[in-house]
Amino acid sequence: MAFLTAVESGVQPHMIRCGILCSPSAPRCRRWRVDQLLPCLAFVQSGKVLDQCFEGVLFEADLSCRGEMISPRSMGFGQPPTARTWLDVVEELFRPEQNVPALLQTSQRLPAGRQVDLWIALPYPFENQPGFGTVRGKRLNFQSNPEHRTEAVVWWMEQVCRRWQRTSRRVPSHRVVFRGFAWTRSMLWPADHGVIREVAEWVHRNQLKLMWCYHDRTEGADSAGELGFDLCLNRPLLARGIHRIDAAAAFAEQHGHGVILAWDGARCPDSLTEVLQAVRNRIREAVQLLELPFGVVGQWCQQAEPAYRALYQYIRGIEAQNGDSKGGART
Amino acid sequence: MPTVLHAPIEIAGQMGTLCQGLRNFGWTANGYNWFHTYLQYDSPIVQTDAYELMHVFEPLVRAADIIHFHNGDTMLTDYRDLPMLKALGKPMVMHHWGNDVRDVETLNRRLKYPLPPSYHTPDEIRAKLATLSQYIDHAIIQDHELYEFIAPYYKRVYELPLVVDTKALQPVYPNVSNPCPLIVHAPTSDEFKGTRYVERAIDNLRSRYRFEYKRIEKMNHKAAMSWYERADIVIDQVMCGTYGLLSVEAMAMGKPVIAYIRDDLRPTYPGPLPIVSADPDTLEVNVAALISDPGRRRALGMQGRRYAEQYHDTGVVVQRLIRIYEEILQEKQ
Repeated sequence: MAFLTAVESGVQPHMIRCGILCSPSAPRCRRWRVDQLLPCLAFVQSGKVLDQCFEGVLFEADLSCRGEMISPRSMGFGQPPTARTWLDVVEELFRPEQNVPALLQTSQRLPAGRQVDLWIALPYPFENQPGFGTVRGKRLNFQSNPEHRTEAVVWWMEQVCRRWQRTSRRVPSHRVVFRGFAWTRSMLWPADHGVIREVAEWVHRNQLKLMWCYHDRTEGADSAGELGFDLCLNRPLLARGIHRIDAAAAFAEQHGHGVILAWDGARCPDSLTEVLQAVRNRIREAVQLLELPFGVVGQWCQQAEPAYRALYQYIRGIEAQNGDSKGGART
Repeated sequence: MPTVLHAPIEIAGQMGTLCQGLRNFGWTANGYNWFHTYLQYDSPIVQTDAYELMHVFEPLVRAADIIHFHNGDTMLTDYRDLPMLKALGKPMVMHHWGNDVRDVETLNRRLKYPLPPSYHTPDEIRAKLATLSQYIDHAIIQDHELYEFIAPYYKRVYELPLVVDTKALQPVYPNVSNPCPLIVHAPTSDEFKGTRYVERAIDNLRSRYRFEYKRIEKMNHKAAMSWYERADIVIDQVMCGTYGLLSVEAMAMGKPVIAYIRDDLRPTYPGPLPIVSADPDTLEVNVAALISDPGRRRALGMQGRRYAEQYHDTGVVVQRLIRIYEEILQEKQ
């Protein structure tokens, strides 16, 4: 087996996770505008776009500003969300001038012929929510009716797709490809298996893909494809130790998965440049998702930090070594 | 109100009941459990795994004013979190539940019917306790039975009775006119609970008495509770010398309970414990006595309910837990 590659998966090889709203570690609301997205999607110097950088974006809402848990990353850090909260997330994703609309605008500034993949993380239907609210005239109770969890997620995906069609039509020259959704709960909790299977079926019926982001060593990761995931990305336990990245990379390579690289200067003793240098040859082929602190790429770009160039070189350099100067699979 | 974090293992639904109880008193409490069993307790905590927990470690620690660990485990492997937490001055308490610290070899020198080996050897237990107590000063146990094993290590050991929400359990006292009582035994570990002795006694009694016997195994907690509700006699463990959650739930449901209670431990329980003590030698005669005395079954059931309300109810236990937390927090100031 080998890594999941861009060519075989039909997706762009380098994605960046863009967390929106609040997170358990950051109480301030995160909103991605063009000025923050552009340095991520393009290599910008002195205000000029010189080349493409990341080729994909994963938007994920963690915690609402009222403290309701949206992503599984926020499990236990707030109150269970309701249908209203989930609709607010859709509103937030498609709020004018930010997040998805900002991505559409940013894509227009990329070098000719370049595209960007859009992924959207699914909200997690917390099992202990007895009063999720009314969806399509039906009151949903996740606690007593586990099948309501699937209904809620499918309903939410429909809202997103509807908004995507409406919003993307308004920017006819955009170069964003809506690839699909991401299931970001790492643990394959048995009660989630049915939800995942049905979500995957819906996603595939709508010509989209379902991605799974998991932590290294998660039980069941070796057979996750049976649940309907199109691509699985393995996050090393702690990005600070290269041996940990290596262990996750080995598993990903063995099972045809991609890799997640999470870096935060406040927590990692190594600089991002050092981490990228260390893994450059190890995971070159793999589809990758980078998780970086909110706004850091924009800051590096503005301050012409060496890390910004290193990041760009890492992303493009891999492609150059593949002999494909235009990147991975294109549609 | 302070914020409490419980992690990483839920034993017998206790973490969830304690968290809910703390919330009822206005505390912010949340639990993270990475240990999942067929019992499937319907618990108001986060069911997770070690890898998810590792990734939320930092924000969790930041949010918590006190960290309540369970079953000799912490959030990161090899106790890598403990030096960090100690350096941060984070108040911590370790709740030991039984086999995580019970030195079976030592105990078996005194017990007529030896307990099976635990999942840790005595050397492993001693090593774990030595490490834990370098960083954690306070420990909690459910009763005095475990005291001898952990007292040499911790600065302070608290006894906190097992917790049950008695208001959620309506007592169903044994019917005195039932000619065929139902005896229930529910081993999660048959070797440890002495199931073979229970069933030997049951077999010996079959020819002389009319009764039904149900062994509850590999059944989720909700389904098991429906059997306890119908029971006329509940048999818990008959070897270890103290009682477990089965006894507490059965008492709360108004059932007479049989378990082996060590003579030296009996005075250490609060109030007169209405559990009929029986070891493998005396089990048959004690079960027979209860089968043939429906009035006593009912009386013991009523005493058990009162005992559960007085000493094991969520409100009572959680108030005691809050006092423990307050002592620990005060010490850290």
